[in-house]
Amino acid sequence: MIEIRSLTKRYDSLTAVDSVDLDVADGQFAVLLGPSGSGKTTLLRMVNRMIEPTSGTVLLDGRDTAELKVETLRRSMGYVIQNTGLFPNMTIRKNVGTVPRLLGWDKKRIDARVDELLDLVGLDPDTYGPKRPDQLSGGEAQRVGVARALAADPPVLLMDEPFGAVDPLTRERLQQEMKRLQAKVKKTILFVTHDIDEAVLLADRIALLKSGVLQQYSTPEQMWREPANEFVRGFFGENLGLRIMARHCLSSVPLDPAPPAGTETLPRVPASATLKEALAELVGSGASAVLVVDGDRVLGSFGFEALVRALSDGSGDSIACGPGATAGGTA
Amino acid sequence: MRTGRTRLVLHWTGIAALAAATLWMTFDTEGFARLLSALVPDADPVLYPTKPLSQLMAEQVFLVAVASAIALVVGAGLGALALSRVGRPFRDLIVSVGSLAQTVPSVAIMALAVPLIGYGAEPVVLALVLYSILPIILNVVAGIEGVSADAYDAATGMGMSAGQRFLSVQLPLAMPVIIGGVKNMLVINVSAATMGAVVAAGGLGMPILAGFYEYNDAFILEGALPAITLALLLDRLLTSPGELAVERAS
Repeated sequence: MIEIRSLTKRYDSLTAVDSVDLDVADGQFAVLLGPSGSGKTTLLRMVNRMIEPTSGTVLLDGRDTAELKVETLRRSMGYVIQNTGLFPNMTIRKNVGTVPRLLGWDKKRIDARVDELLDLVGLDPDTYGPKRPDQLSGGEAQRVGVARALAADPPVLLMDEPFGAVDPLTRERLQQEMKRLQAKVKKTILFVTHDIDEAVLLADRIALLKSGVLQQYSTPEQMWREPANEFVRGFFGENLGLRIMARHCLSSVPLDPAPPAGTETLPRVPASATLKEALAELVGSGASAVLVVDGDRVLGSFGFEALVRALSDGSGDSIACGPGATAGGTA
Repeated sequence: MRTGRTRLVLHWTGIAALAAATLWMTFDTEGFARLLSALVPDADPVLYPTKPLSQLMAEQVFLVAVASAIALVVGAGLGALALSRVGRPFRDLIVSVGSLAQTVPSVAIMALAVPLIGYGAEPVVLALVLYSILPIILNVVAGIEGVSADAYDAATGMGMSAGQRFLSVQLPLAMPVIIGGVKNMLVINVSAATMGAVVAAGGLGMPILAGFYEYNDAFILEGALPAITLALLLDRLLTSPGELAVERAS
């Protein structure tokens, strides 16, 4: 649990972060979003004291982080940055094992943990372990960056535009992987980005900042339905509804019962597809509903009414969609 | 892989050849004398009579080793000072004092030092140290400052102490640049130390100086050839084969 209390950072005449209050519950994915210069990175870096606040406090599980030894604090938080910051003089194995080494783990335990983590981020330990960072693609390097941050199993992850420097295709794949990874590891995450799609896709809660001031801190659904002010409304623009539909899968929303077999031929959509993909299929096919299927099994039907229902009640928790989710909605 | 191995073989063959040449000239007095008389047929005598080449070489190596060791310690210390939180305001001052030291001709430093500390090795060592501190300071500063900001940031953010960050990230990443400075210094020192003959410090400069006064080119070659191979040998020893590949590729 991270509790940020009236946190402020002033540089001479500039107030980079202005009295921000923010709670991130355990296991929650909080995205700090805002235009450049909004103070999101400064806010993030005050959490692990890379930047010391002018005033205010950050509590980690109820303890004031200012009272902890700064190295101890940082070792309890995974840290991922935009250009990975992998150490070019070390192999991937050594990079991933950095924090466990700092914590004095024995070699066997570190080795086992590194294998486990490389597997977790989808990199074969035998192939990638002995490589150097400059032998990796941008996407691979960023996966290693995430693995390294998770190495000592810290309860908290701080991520500063981790996918900002990779190409759009890789970025999308990394985002989906991140979502699936978070479903597995359930870390308390603070994630900085200026990419609205990325924020809406990944966040349980979005903290929208402007000139160091927190504008709204809520689920993307709430921001869509009840924007706190004109800035929030304008920042997300017209597309927020569609972006929110991309957050949810058919498998996570209530469906209508399927019509009796044979009475109607409806297009089929896999349950792992997002609501946005289902909507595209509905509009594209002109049908009144689509059949939601898991392989050959029909789970139910999904029409406009079901879509409206799904969006109006939604708890706001973003669900990791299945592997087929990005591949297109038709079956 | 195969080109890598070829490069490695070539690298070590070169080093072995230079080492063999240096040792042969130093210790096979008669053989080297035959070479010199072949190169300079009318020279008489062929070899510098005052001291055998092995002793001159020992003096040369001593001068270079002492001066380089002192310059390395002082230069690295000043470089570290320029990078430290305390010394950061003086970074530019330290670098320019280093540059200034290099602008004064080393012969002048030796000449000025003799009235103060007498003839012999001391004025030479002083001159060489002053002269070679700059490449060390510059390369230590450039090497450490050249470490990627991202790696530095990540090291800090992962909870490394300043010492751990320096030893496991900054220093290893700066090493190639620092080694470059050391290499530079050694090569400069091997040739500059021959000037020590002027202030009676011995070394390979003795036959060169004598050859100059006595119009004996064989003496000059006797001092110069081993000095050249020694400098080349040190240069090659501190050049990694991988670095050569990078040099060629870029």
